[in-house]
Amino acid sequence: MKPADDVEELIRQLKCRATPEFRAAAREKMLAELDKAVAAQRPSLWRTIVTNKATRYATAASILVAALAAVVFWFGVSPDHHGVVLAEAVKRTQAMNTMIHREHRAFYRKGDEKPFLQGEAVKYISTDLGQVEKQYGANGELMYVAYYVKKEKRVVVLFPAVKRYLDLPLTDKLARLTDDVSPKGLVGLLTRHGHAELGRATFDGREVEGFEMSRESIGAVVSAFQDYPEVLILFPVKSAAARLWIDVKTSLPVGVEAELENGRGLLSLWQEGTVRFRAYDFQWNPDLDPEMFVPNIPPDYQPLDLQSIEKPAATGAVLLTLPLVAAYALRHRKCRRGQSSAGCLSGLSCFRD
Amino acid sequence: MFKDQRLAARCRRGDREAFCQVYDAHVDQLLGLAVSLLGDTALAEDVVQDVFVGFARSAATFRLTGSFRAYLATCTANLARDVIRRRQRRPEAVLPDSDPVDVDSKGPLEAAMEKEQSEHVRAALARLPCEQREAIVLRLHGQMKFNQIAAVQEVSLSTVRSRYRYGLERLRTLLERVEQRGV
Repeated sequence: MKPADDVEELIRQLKCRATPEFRAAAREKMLAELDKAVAAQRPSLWRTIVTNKATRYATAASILVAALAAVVFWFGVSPDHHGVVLAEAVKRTQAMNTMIHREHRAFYRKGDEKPFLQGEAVKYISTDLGQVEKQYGANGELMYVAYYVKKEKRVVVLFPAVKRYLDLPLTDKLARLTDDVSPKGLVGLLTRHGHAELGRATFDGREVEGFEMSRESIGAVVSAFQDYPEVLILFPVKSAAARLWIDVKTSLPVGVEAELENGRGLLSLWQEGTVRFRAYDFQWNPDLDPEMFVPNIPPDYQPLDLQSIEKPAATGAVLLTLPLVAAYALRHRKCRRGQSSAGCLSGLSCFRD
Repeated sequence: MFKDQRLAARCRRGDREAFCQVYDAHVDQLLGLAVSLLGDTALAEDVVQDVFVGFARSAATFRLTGSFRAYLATCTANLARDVIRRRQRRPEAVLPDSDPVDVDSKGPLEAAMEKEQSEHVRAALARLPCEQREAIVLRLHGQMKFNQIAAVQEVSLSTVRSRYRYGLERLRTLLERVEQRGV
């Protein structure tokens, strides 16, 4: 026994280790409570609309464009050669017509280890109607709502904080790819251009089988954006990688992890970087109200014109762009100090002035 | 601290992996804290489980102003105090069980001696007044600062220091008696 005068040290040395049974049970209870809390929180997210800062606006648009890219490259497939788990997943997802999932997105500048922007999105997907995507900022503020409307062949994006909207045509190529943005298309992406099997792992506490997309599909993703020169100017995608995780018990996908490398684009202030995505919390075949897939553009929203943006010469691009962004931010601030926002909040078209 | 803040931000978004990281990093420490406060492993496990369940329940509104260690230790101390109040009819805390007190990978003799020593220290802790025991355990086990403990106990800084000092003196006396008995 150590002398009693070392009593502080004696107490510091008291150790305790949770038994494996307790550790597992307490963790399970915590996660069950978390699931309940997250489920209860969802309706409040729908109501959350917080005013954004000016700088958030440009990044919101970049998130959208990056999300478009991610959407295209990780959902878009038809089955070919694959293992038992993937084959069963193809069969099971064929029967699904709707789904909901959450997605975490983090943006990194080249060379940085810490993201400069993070956000959470919720996606509602219908095989027949298209999809709706709601992107929230780190503090839960609604940054944009995007509608991919299949029948009307439109992509409509609302930016509530600045009361602006984008209305882009859904080109045939993107329409076809967006068609695969569905439960049926999800699994097939891996097999259209081949894939690598990653074996067993754990995703969100579930035993899963992993699959990684091949290099060929990356080329297909990039080529899909040739239809959108404005996207290439705003947020060019250089390369992509993605992994799909399928629950071995249910044979349904439970998660997707992806990484995009972006080249120099207007929305990244001509800086290269990386965007990381993590899709999770998949709900298969939920009841979705068809009305939610109809874009509802409020009458006081003004359109954005992306076509008018011209790419500056590579040299001096930063010098050209930064003052424009600063000018935009200043004008935006003036508006928020009391002037009418109708005239000057022309969104990205401000960059033309 | 910065790492904790990033983790807290992920927790606010309901990120299960972030919760698991927090859980894995602190469950043993909190259990040790609770066992020291309550002197009863089963009760301590209940308290620690309630701490993490409460933490998950507050996922959306959770705001971390300090470190996870201090936050969770405070929650544990508060819940343990509630348990102690509920069983206040009993004159003393229950003497600690030996399970699941940790035994590292040491020789059997050394492990047995350490286990015995731990039992003596825990038994002595259990004989301290609740406030003194809490001040000592939060300071030495929870690695909390005196001003943080003062906030938990809702008393002045000087009171916490006094509780800590008197508690240590009492512990020292109790342990010396054990030594003198040649145990």
